[in-house]
Amino acid sequence: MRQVNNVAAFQSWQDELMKSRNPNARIIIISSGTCGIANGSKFIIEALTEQIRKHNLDSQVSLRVTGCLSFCQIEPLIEIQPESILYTGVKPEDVPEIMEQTIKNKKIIERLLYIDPVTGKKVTYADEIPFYNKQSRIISGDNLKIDPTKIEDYISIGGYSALAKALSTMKPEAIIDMIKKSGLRGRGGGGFPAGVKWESCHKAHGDLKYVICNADEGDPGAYANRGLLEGNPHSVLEGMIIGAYAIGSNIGYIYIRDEYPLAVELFENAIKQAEECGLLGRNILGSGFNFVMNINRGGGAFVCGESSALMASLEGKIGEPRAKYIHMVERGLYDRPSCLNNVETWANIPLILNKDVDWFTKIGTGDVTNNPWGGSKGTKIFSLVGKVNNTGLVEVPMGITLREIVYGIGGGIRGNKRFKAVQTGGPSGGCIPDKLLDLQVDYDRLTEAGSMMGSGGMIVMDEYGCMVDVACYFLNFLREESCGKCVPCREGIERMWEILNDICEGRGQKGNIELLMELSEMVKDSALCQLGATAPNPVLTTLKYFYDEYEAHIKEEKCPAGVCKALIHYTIDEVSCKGCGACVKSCPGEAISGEKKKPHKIDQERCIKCGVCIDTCKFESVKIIPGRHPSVKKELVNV
Amino acid sequence: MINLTINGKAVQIERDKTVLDAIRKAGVDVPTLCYHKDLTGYGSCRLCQVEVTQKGRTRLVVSCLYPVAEGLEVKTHTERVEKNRRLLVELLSARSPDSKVLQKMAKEYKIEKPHFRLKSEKCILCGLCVRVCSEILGANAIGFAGRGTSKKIEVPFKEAPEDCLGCGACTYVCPTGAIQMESEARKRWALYLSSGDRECRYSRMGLISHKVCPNAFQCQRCEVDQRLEETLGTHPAFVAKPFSKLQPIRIDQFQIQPNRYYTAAHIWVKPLNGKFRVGVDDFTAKFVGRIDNIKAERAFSNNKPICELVIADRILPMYMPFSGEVVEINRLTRSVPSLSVNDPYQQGWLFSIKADNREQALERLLSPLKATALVKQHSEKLHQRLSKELGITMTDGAGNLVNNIPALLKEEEWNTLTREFFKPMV
Repeated sequence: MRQVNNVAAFQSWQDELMKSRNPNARIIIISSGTCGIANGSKFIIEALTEQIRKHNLDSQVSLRVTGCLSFCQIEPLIEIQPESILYTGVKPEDVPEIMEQTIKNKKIIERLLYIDPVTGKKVTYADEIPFYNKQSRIISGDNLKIDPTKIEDYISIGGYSALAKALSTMKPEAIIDMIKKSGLRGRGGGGFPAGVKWESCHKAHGDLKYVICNADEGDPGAYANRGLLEGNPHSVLEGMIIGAYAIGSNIGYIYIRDEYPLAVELFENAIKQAEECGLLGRNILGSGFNFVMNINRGGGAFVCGESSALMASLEGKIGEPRAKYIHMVERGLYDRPSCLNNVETWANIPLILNKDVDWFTKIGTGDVTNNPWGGSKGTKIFSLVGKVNNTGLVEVPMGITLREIVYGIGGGIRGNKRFKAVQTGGPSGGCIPDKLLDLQVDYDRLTEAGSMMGSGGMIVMDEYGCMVDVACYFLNFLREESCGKCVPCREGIERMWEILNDICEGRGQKGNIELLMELSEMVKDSALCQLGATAPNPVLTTLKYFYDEYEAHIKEEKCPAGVCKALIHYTIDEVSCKGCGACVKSCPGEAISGEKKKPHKIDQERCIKCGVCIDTCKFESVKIIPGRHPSVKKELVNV
Repeated sequence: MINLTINGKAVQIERDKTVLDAIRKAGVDVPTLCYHKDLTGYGSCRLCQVEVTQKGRTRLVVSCLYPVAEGLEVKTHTERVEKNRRLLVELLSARSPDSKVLQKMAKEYKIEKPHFRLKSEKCILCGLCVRVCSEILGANAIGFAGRGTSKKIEVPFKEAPEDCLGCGACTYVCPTGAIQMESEARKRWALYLSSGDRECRYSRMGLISHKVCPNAFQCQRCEVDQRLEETLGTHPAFVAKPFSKLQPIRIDQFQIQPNRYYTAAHIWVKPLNGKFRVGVDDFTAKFVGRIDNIKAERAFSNNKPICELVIADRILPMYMPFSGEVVEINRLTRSVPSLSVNDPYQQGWLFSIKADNREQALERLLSPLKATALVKQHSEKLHQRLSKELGITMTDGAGNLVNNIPALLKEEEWNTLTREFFKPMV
C-alpha cells in the first residue's frame, strides 16, 4: 500500500496498478461472500491453496477470493480465468481434479458445469449463462474483478479516480448538479432524487453536517446491500467521500446491521486502508478536505432502516421514527443537516462521475432532463428469491419487465409450476399478479401497481402460494417490527393481522374484508412513518388482485392454494395408493391406517396436516383438497 | 407573526408555534391523548390530525408537531379526518376498555362496542410519563422497553430506579391512570432513603428547602402538599423544572455545560472511567472560529501545553493546570480538527488523559459555576479589548461572535490576547 498526498501521486499509482493487471493471467476466482462461506467456500479456498502449492504453480496461478458473485443458487462456485469457465457446487474433493484437468491440461470437467434449467444443457462459460448475460451488471459486475480486502484491486479497475476527479477538478455545486441531472433516485426504496437531497443538505444552514449510509437491510429475503458491501466496500466508501465533499460534510456514518458481520469486517478494513492511503481522513489527496468515517452496528430492529429511527439509533436513543415535517437534510442526526442514502445509491456515485451523465441516463425509463422525478435511471439490484429456477442477486436496467426478470433471468418457475405472483419491495411492498408480468419495473410503475421498489426484494410465488397467508405473514412481520410508537401502526397493524389470521384459521366472517379496507386506509393516512404508511400494501394488493381467494376463505371456507390448514384436508387417492404403509410409519399423529396392499385412509380428526405423508408417498397418492372434510366440524379443526 | 386560517377563521401566532397551538388559540377543540403543553410534541396518538393546504397541496398532518406557516389553511374536522379519528378511538378503546377518557371519547364518536377483541391494557403508551420524567425532572427513571405489540413502559432493567424522585409527576400526566402512586413506589423511596429520614418529594424536586416527611409519604394527608397543588394549579414538577439545572448556561455568546469541570485556560474536563476526557470550551471555540491542526505530545504539565491549536499561521497553546499524559486521541477530531470548534462539548472532544495526581488535579479544576463567572469576566474583557482598544467589530448583524478573530488580529495582538485568556497556571 502506498500513501498518496496529491492527485498526481495517486494517478501514477493507479496507472501502475492498472498496468499490473494482466487480462490473460490464470486466476481462480472463488465467490466467498456470506452465502459462499455458508456453502463451504472456505474449505475450497484451503484446498485450492494447498493444491497450488503442491503443484508448484504459485507463479502461474493466483487465487482471488471475492465477495458474492450473485448466483447464490449454485454456490459454492468458482470461475477460472482468462476463459471464464464456471464450475458450480464445487466441493473440496473436486479441487485436485480441477487442478489436474482444467488448470494443467485445460480440460473441462463436465460434471461441475452449470445446467440450464430451461434447456437442460450444460454451459461452460459464465457469460453464456442467461442468468448472467441478461443482466446489466454495471455495479455488481465489479465484484468479480476484485478482492474486497485489497484497496489496490479496487484502484486497479479505476477505483477512487472519481474521487480524485471530484476533488481536483469539480466544485461541490458541479457534482450536485451532475447527480441531479443523472436522475439517480434513492435505492433504499423511497426513490427520492439523490441530487435534490444533496442540494438541500448542501444549502442547509450549519457548520457540521453528516452523510450517512443506510445498510440496515432488514427485508425478509433481501440481501442486495450485503452483496455490495461484501463484494466492493470501497465503491460505497468512495461514493460517500464524494457525497460528503459535495454536501460539505466532514463526518460520515455507516449503519450496518449486526447480522452482517462480514460486511462490517470488510468495511472496517476498507476504511483503514483508505485512511492509510490518504484517501480518507485529514487533507484527502492534498485538497484540504477532511472526512472521517464511522461504523455503527444496528441491533436488529427493522424500523431502524427508516431514516429518522436510524438517526435516533445512531445517537444512542431508542430507534423510533419521528415526524419529518422538518426534513432530515435540515435537522437530522444530532439535529444537524444530514444526508442519508442507501448502500446502492452511494455505490452509483463513482460510476456517474466516471462515466458521465449521458451514459447513465441512457439506461432506464422516462426523461429526467428537467425533472428529477421524471423517470428512473440506471440499474437496480434485486434479490430474486422464491419459486424461480435461478435465485440470486440480479442487476437489471430500470424499465425491464417483470417477465424478463422471472422468466429470462430467473429461468421460470421451479418444477414447471404456474406463476402466481411476485412480491416486491419487502414486507410493506405488494404482490403483483401474472396479468401485470409485462409491467416495467421502475419506481413509478411499481407504485402505480400498489407495490414499491423497496430495497429490492423480489419473492416469486407459484400456484401453491396462498395470498391471504402471504398477507398474514407480512403483517405479522410488521406487527412485530413496528416500533410501537404511534397508534395506527401499533394497534392498526395488529388488528389487521388478527383479522387475516382469523381468516386463515377458518374464523373469517362477513364484514372482515370491509374492515380490513377501512383499517388499511386509516393506517396509510395516519401512521407516523413509512413503515406504518406502507404496511397495508400487502393487504391492499392481495385484495385488489386476488379478491376471490379472500372470498373463498370466508364464504366457501376453503383455501384454494391448499396452504391454510384449517381450510383444507388431506385424502389418499384410492386408485393410486399401493398400500405400501410408508405413510403410516411416518405419520406423527398416527392418523393413517390401512391394511397392507390396500388403499389407506386418513383419520381427519387426528390429522395435523403436517405434510410428511406427501413427502413420503412415492406414488403421489396423498392429495390436499381445499375445504374442510365433510366429517369435521368447524370447531374441531386442528390448527 | 404568522398568519394562517383555522376552518376559514384567520389566526395570528408566533413563528415557532405548532398548528395545534394555533387551533387552540382559535378556540377550536381537537382531541389529544399524548399532548401536554409543557412537553415536546410526540405525535403518537394521531388524534390531533388535521388537513392542511399549502401552495395548493393538501395533506394530513398531526397538528401537535406541524410547524405553523404563512398562509396555511387548516381544516380540523373534515370527513377524512373524523373517519380516521373514529377508528383510532375504536382501536384504543379495544386496547383499554376500562379507561374513563377513552370511554368518553368512544361515546362522542358513537362507538358502542369496538369491532375488535377487547384487551385489558391500562397503558396506551402515549409517553407522557416518559417525557415528563426526562424533560421536566431530568431523572429518566422510566422509559419504553420492547417494540411493536410488546412495547411497554418500564423502569431500567426492571429494577427500582435510583433516579426516581418519587415526585409523582408521571401519575399526574397519565391520561388513563395506568401509573399509580402505590405502596410499591413508597417502598422504593424508603429504599432510596436508607438513612431513615424521609425527605419530602418537594424538597427533592428542589421546590422547597429541606423538609423531612412526617406522614410516611402519604401525600394526601400532608398539608404542604394540599396547599402547594392548590396554589400552583398543576403538578409542582412543572413549576420547579429541576431539569433546567442540567441545561447549558448562556453567557453572552458563549455556552457552559453544567455537567463537567473547567480550567481557567478554557478547557473542559470530565472524569470518565478513572481518566479525564478533555476538550476546548465554547469560549475557545468561538475565539478561534476554526482549527486547522491540533498538535499534541504524550506528556504535558502546567507549563508544557497539552496541545497547540493551529489556525492558519496562528498558534494557540492550551494548558492544563496539572501534569499528566494523553492516553487517547479522539479519532474524529484528529481527522476533522474543526469538529472541536463546531461541537466542542460532544463529538469534538480532544483527548482522554491521565493525571499524575488525580486528587490534586480535581482540586485545581473549576466548577461550572466558577467557570461561568470566569467566562463572563473574559467575555467582557474580550469585548473591551477587541471593540474599544483594537477597533474590531466582534459581532455580526445577528449578534453572533465573528468567526475569524485570528485573522483580524496582528501577530502581536494575537499573542497578547491569547496570553491573557489562555495563560498557563503558575
